[in-house]
Amino acid sequence: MTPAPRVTVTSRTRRVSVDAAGEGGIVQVEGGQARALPDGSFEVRGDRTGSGTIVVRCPPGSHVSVGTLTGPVETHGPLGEVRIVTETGKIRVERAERVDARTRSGSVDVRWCAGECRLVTASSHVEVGSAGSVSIASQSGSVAAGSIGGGQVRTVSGSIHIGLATDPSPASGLRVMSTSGGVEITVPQGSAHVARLTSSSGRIRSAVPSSAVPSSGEPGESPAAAAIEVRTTSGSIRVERR
Amino acid sequence: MTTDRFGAIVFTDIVGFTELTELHGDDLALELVEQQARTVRGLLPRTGRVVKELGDGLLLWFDELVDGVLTSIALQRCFDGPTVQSADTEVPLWVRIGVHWGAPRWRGDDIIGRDVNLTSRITALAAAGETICSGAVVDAWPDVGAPRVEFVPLGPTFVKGIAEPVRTYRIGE
Repeated sequence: MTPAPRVTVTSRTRRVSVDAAGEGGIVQVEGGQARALPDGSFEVRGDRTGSGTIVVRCPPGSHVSVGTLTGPVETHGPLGEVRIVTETGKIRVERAERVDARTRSGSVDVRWCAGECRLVTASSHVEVGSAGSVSIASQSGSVAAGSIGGGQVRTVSGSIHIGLATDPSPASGLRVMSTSGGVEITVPQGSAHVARLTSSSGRIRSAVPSSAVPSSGEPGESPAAAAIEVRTTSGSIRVERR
Repeated sequence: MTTDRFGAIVFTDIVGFTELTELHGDDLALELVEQQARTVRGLLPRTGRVVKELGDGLLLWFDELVDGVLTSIALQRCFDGPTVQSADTEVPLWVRIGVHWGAPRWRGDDIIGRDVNLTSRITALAAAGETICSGAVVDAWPDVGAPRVEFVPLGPTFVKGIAEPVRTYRIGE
């Protein structure tokens, strides 16, 4: 069986679209130049004088790295590890095993990520459909995650809306920190979550039992419970069951 | 101006400083900056020094690459946890760090040039609590005699003002 190829795409300003619809070990490119490297990986560069979208077709499960300055990046179909760095481009990832995506001001949208989804922005909105775990950091951008196993979310002033997946394990805790952003977390009915919620001046409402200690496994905490820890300075906190 | 010697260039930067100042006032801003400076100065090895303070950040120089990287890791461990208090407000001190290995030009005790600009640019890629480094750091990292450090590739990275993409890495724990 041919291992999934590694593909690196760079373009300063052009839109990059990666489509996991290729076959075998073949990588096809429109609007750019592809070069096979001795280690079996592929390097794709946008034509300097070109415009329009660079389209890369690669086999499902390919590991893809994309770097742009202003060009937006989108991926379609199931990919392996996806890494994207852009200064201002928008990012959209349809499906990947792992994601690391960073943009200063472009929005980020990851629909499905099996493992860790690490997203960093300064001012833009972050949206995650479903992820095994997240590490999300934003200054003023808001964060919305539909269904995640756990992880960490930090914002300075952006609001945070998190939906936790069913059947949490004690290891899949959630740690949320914000200074002024409001935090809303939704947990499944009947799930074994405990919460440790702290806000200096924001209102706190919780539908799950509180925990006096931050980590699982401490005396007095149910060994089957996954911990939700939220700290804000002035933002409100609401934990509810759906 | 003098040229030449290689070293580790490190930027630290308080995340959300402008917003925090706007939300909580100048006294808290001052305390954030002072706590960052105290923490950095308290952890500097003999081979490192503060080149200058830049508002909410610090520019550091290390003669030895390993000292620069290990100090950055130690700094993030220190910043992860304690909060800064002013009047009745308590906020976390979140810092992003960038590290590059290069040979800037010296102007007295100051350093300038492409390597300094590049370090500043890659610092902006880091989240609160993260340290990002350039490919030059990874290439120069000693194979023997240095602690094992995880360098997680982020991929090719375009930064403003620099024509070609650079390799960047997140320094793992």
